[in-house]
Amino acid sequence: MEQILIQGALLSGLYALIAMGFTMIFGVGRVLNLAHAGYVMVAGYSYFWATYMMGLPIVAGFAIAIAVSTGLAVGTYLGWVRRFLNDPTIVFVSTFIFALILEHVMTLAFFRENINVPPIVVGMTQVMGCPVSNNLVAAVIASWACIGAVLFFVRKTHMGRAMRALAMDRRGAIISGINPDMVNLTTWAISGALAGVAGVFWGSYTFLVPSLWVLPLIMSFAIVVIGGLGSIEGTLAAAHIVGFMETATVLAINDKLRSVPGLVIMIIVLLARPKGLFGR
Amino acid sequence: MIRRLRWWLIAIAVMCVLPLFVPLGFPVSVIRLLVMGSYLAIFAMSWDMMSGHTGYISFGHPFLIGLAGYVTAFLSHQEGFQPPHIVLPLAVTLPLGVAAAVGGGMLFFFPSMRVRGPYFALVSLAFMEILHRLIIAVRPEFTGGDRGLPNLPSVVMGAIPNYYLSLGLMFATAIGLWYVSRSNVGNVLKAIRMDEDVVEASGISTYRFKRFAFLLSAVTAGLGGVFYTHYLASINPRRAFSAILLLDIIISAVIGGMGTIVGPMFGGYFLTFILEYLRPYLFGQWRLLAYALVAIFMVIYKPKGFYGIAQDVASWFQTRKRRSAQYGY
Repeated sequence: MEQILIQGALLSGLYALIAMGFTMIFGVGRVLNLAHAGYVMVAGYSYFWATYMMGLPIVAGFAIAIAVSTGLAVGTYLGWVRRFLNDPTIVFVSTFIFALILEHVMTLAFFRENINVPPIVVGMTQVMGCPVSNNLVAAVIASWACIGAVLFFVRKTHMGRAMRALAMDRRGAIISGINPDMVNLTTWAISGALAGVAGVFWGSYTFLVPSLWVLPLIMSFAIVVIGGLGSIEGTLAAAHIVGFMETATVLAINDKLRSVPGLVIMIIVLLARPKGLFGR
Repeated sequence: MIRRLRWWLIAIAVMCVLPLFVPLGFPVSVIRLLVMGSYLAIFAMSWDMMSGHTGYISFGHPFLIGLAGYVTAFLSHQEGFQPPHIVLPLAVTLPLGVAAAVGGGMLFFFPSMRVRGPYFALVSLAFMEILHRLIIAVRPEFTGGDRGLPNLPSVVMGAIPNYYLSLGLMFATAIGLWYVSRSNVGNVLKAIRMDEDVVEASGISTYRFKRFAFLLSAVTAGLGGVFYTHYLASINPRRAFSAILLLDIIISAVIGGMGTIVGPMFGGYFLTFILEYLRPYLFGQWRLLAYALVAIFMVIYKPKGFYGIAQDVASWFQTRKRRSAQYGY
């Protein structure tokens, strides 16, 4: 039981990180970036490369991972997505192929084996009477710090308000002097950075493999749909629903049914309330 | 009638004659590739009927294909570890497989066409993933679990009979779907892709047209799925529900030209051949990387695909002809 709570909290935090970037991009630009989970995978690999193959300190590894995923996100946006903002189908298909390209590149660079990333923070602590590795605790703290920072940014800063304005009413926002291109670019950069943080912790939580992006992608889809596409608060809540259900399924029923409960909830939500739980 | 079918008849004639050259040294490997290409073309056309025409991008086509394949595979195989059950002849299991694809699709897949755009894509992907997980985890003694079902009976033996079978299937679906696509029904479906609300407002029930497109797509996917499964003589979840098969289908439809039927058909063959002929030059992962790069450039710079390129070339020739007739240069 305690195991479910603790593991669930971690998984939910990571899912929230990934899904928030996903939902912000949709909220501002009305396109879905299917390569998003690909950035998570690449960030995990770049952290591994920087710290364990090049021997750099952990902080540098973090910085490199975040820089790489942010760079990929900005590159995707500036490279071609910017020209196709009014054609979601092309963005959809092209970013899906891009995720596949990232997988192939990573396979060429690191091969198809599972890589076990050593924990970022070593040691164990007792939480509620059961041993938890410090690595998990660090991951939970880091993901909540990022979530808090994003919420602060979106609520309190000028750029954050511009993002919300664009999500609510694109034309009105443009008339009142917001540059949608700049806001879009910032959003993509932030979501890339979130994917970077998530990737580092995801790698140390499970293991790295080039096809790591498929499951996080599907699950962050489900989370975003349950919470309401474009709603950050909804995404947070849905990430916890899905994260805890998944952990409970894995620990109590069958490891192979991992993703099923979240997807079933998603289908029910979608058919009963297509806006999502918190959607407008 | 004959005039409109002229190009089809030429294509059929050429393809039918090809195996006659095998005794003269025409490689059998090409025939085998053409079989694979035909099945990919069937899947791509099935995807195109539903997604290319109506704009409801389906990420769950392997759901239909895999469902059909699993039903016919389970009912028709005998040896191995599964609990004893009545083994049905292929003549019964093939229609049952297609029926399963249509029935399962109508029951689970089609209701999600209520939601639009990206939502539909997500739900269809979720259905594929759920079926994948359920087949692995629930009653693995029936479905073979991770290993799948090996040693299935074949419909016909040998490369050339299989070639004719796949070819017949491919041309039958291609011409059928092509007619639908060029008819008024096809126009309504393309109008749905452009603006569903406008179509709805002009008094056309988009629900019924979407249902028709979906039915056609599911029947085609089911047909392709059952014959493909028996051609490969085995089915396993990793191949049936992989992102690779899904991407092959979508990429061949997209590089061929969405919403044209002929384009995806060409795309299916093109993809099969390019993947095979790149093999000596680029090995392993490099080949897949190259093909993904080609696909992404195609999507970004030529969203209309090969069909669009062919149209451009044809119109360039026509303009030149008209100009030379008019001005003499």
